[in-house]
Amino acid sequence: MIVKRAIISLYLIIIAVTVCLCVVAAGRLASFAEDANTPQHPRDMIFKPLVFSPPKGERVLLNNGMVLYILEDHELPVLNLSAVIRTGSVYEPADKAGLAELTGGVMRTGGTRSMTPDEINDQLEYIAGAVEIGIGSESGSASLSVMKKDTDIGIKIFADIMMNPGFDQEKLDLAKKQEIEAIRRRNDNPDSIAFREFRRLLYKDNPRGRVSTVKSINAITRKDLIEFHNRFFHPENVMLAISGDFQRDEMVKKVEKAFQNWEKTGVKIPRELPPSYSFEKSINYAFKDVPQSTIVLGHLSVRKTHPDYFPFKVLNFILGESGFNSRLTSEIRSNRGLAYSVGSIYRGDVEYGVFAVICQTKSVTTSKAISLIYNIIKDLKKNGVTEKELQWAKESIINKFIFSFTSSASIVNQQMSIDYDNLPEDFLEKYQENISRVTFEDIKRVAKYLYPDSSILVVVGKSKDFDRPLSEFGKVHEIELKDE
Amino acid sequence: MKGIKKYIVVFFILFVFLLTASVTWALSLKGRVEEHTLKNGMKILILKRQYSPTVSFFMSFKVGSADEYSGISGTAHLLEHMLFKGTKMLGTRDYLKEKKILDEIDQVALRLDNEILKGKKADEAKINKLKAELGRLQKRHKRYVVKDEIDSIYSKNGGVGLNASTSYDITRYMVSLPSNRVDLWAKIESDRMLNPVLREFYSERDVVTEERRQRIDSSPDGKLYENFMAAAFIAHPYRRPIIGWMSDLMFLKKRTTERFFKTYYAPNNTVVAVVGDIDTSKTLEIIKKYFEHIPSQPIPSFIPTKEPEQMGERRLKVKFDANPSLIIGYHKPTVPDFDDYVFDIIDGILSSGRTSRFYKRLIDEEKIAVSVETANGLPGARYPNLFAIFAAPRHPHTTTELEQAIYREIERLKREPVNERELRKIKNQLQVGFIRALNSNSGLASKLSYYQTVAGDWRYIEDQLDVIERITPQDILKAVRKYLAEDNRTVAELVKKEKE
Repeated sequence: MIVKRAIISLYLIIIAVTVCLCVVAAGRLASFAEDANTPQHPRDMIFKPLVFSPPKGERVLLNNGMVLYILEDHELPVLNLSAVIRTGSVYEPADKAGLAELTGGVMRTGGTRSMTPDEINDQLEYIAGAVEIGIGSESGSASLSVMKKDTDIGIKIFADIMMNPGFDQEKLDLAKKQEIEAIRRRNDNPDSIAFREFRRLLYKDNPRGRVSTVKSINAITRKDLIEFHNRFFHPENVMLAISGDFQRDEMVKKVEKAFQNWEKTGVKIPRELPPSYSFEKSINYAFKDVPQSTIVLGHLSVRKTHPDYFPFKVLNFILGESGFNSRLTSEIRSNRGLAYSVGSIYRGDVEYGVFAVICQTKSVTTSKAISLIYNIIKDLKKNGVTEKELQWAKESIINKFIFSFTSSASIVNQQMSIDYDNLPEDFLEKYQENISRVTFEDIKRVAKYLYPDSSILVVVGKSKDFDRPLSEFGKVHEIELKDE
Repeated sequence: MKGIKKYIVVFFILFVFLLTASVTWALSLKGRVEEHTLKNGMKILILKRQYSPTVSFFMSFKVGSADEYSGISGTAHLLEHMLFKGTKMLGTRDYLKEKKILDEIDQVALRLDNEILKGKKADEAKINKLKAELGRLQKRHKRYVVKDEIDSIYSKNGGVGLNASTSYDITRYMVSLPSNRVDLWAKIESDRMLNPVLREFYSERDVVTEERRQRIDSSPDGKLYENFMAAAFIAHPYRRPIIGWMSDLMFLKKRTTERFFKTYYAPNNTVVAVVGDIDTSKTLEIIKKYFEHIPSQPIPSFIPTKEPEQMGERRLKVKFDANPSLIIGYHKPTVPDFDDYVFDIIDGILSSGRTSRFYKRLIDEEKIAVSVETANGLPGARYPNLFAIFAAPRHPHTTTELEQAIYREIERLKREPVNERELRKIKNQLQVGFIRALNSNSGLASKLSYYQTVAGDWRYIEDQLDVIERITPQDILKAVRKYLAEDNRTVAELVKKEKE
C-alpha cells in the first residue's frame, strides 16, 4: 500500500553547511516555557524569540555568464538542481499561443541530438531520477533530481536537454494532440473556467491574458520550437540553484564542464510590458450545469517593488489570506456557512500585482455571497482594520517566516528567484523587518488599492437557480464557452 | 484525473542500486524513532531532525467514515471540522453562560430539522418561525464566541499547515510550529481531546454541504468516483462517500456527532508523531504532563459488513456536463497480505512515469488516451480494497476503445512474465521514494502516524521495501491472473451530458 499524494515537498535536511552567513549551531535557542509559570490559557503563553540564522547559498558566476546558487547539504545522498530561464508565453506570437508551453514540453519529451526520447526516459527512470521542464507565462523552469551516485549522468542528460533538444517531430505531434484535447476539456470544471476567464479579462490585450486555441496550436511547427529555444536558452539567460550531497568546488567544475560549449549571445531579453492599469467595473457570467457557483472578483494591484507592497500584503492577510480568521472567511464561511472555499489572494510581481477574491457557494446563495464580498471589501476600505487585527497579522507573518528555510533546496531556489526578479539581495533578510514596520496608518492608506466598485467579477454556474439576478450588480456580459 | 499533472510537476524520485536482495538501510529510521506508550495507551513517536528550528505534529485517531453506520454518513468528517471550533477554554468568553444558549440552539435546530424533513407535509410558517428564532439565538450566542481561537493562537505563534483530514480509515490533525512551542501544542491538543465544544455546529454543517458541492456535485471526477465506489462495494461501508450523502449530511445531529467523538477519540486509539528540531526527552515529558491523565476507554470492536465476493462485472454510467472518462477497479486484499505488496509493483509497472506500460502504449504509441493513472489500495487500507485505473480518452477515441486497450495491456501481463530490468526499475523507484521522503518534518510525521495507525506499525515504511525486494515475475503473474479478472471488476464511465 502506498499513499499517493500529489504533495511536493521542498524540505531537505542539512547537517553540515559550508557556506553560511552565521554559525547555525551556535545561534539556536530552543527555549521551553517554564513549567512553574505555565499560564492558564494558551492565548497568554509567551515564548522567547527563536534566534535562527538560516544557511545561505553562494552565488557563483560561471565563465559563460550563467549564474549559480549553490549550497552543500550532506544529510541525504541526493542532488537537487533547478533552473530558471528568462522566457515565457508572453514572448510568443499571438497567432501561435501555446508555443512556449509546447517548447518546454517537447524539450523534455523530444530527445536530444545524441539521445532518442526513449533512451532519455529509460536511463532516467531506471535510476529513479527525474528531469522536468516547463515554460509558464513569465519564466521557464527546469529541474533535475538524482541520487548522489548518479550525479554525472544526471547533469549530462540535463545539460544536453537544455542545450541540444532534438524536438522529435513525432513527439511534437503528440504534444499538440494532447494540448488540443486539453482545450476540449478545459470547460469541464467550473473553477478552471472562472480562473481562466478572469485572467483573460484582467489582462485584456496584454499577452499574459492570451489563451491557446485549436487554431493557434495547429499553426505551430517544429521550426517555431527550434527558434523559440534558440532565442531564450543561453547561459546568460539561465540561472541554476543546486543543493545536495557534493563538494562545492567539484560541483562548480562539473556544471562548468557540462555547459562549456554553450555559446553566449550577448542578447538581453527585455521584460514584457506590464498590463495597463485601467479599472472598469465588469460583470461576467458563464453557464455551467453544476449546483455550485464559482465567484472570482478582483483587479490589478500593487507591484512587488512598490513601497506599499508590505502594507498591502498585511492588509490582504487580514482581508482574506489568513484562513479562518480573515474577514472574508470568518463572515462568509464561519458565521454564515455559505462556502467551504472563500478567501482572497494577492500576488505582487515585479511589474504589477493581482488581487482577487474567490468564493464557491450553492446557486441559491450566489448573489448573497457576492453582496457580502462587496460589503466586506468596502467596509475595510472605509474603516480600516483594528489595532488587534494588525498586531495579530504582523505577528503571524513574522513568526511563520522561518518556514521559508526548512530545506537547502528551498533556500537556493528563493535566492535564485529574488535574483531573477532583480529584487534587492537582502529581500529575505529584510522581510520580517518590513512587515514589522507596517503601521495602522499604512493600512488605512493602502486600502485605496482596493477597488470594489471598479473590479472584474466572473461568475460560473447555473443562473436560473440564483437567488437574485446578477444584473443587480450591473450590466451582465455573457461569456460563451467554446471548446476550441 | 491527476494524470497529466504528474509529468508537469516535478517529483523528486531517486534511487539506490542494491546488489543483493537483503536490504540494509543506511538511512534507516529504525533506531532513530523513539517510541513510547503512555499509561493510558496513547502511542507517541518522536524523531529528532535538525535543519531548521521547526517541528511538525501529526495526531491520528483510528476512526474514519468506515466506522459510521447507515444514516449518519459524513459524521466522522463533520466531527473533524467541529474540533476546530474550540473547547470549554478555547473559543469562548464564558463557557457556562454560553452553554445555556447552545442548549437552546440545539433544541430549536432539532425542531427545525424535523419539520423540514416532513418534506411536502412540512408547515412553511412553522419553518420560517423556527428559522427566525434560530437566527436570534445564534446572534446572542456570538457574544460569547472568540472566533476560531485555535487557529488564531497557532497562527500568531508561527504555526503553518494547521489542518486535518478524514478518510475511511483514519482521522488526522496536523500543524507545524517553531520548535520551542511544544508546550503550546500539547496544551491546545490535550484540551481538544478532553473538552471539545461543538459550537457553531449548524453553520459548520452548511459549510460541509458546500464542501460536498465543490468536491463531488460540481466535479466530474468527484461525481464519477462516488458512483464508482458505491457500485464496486455493495455491502461494505467503503461504498459510502467520506463526506456523506447529501440527505444525511444536511440533517446530521449534534448528539450523534458528540457520541461519535466520545466513542472513538480515546487515548488508546491515538497515535502522535512529532518530528523536528526538539529535545526528545523534554518533548516526551511535556506530552506526558498534558495527555497521560486522560482516561483510556474500551473501543467498540465494530466489525463492518464484509463485502461478498463479486460474481460478475458491474458497469455504470454517470452523465455530466464534462468530457468522457473512465474508472476501472478490481477487488483485492489489503496489508499485510503479500499480494498487496505485489500490487505496489504492478501499480508502478502500469503507470509510473513515461516508460510505464500504460503511458507508453496508450498515450505515446496508440494515442488513444490523454491520461492514464493507477492506484493500489483505494479507497482505504484497513479493509480489503481495490486496485483502480483512471483514464480519459482522447477525442475522437471513445471510452470503449480505451477500455479495450487497457484490457489488452492487462492480458499481456497475464501472459508474459515481466522482465527483470523492468522489475528492478520499479523496485529502484520505490526505494528512492523512501529516501526522498526523509527530507521533510511534516512528511515524516504524516507517514509515521499513518502506518502506525493503519498498518499497526510505523516500521511498515521500511519493511515494505524488504518485502518488495523479494517479489518475482512469477508473483506478479499469479496476482494479475487471480485478481485482474472480468468477473471481479467494476467499470464506471462518465458520459457527456448534452446541453439543455
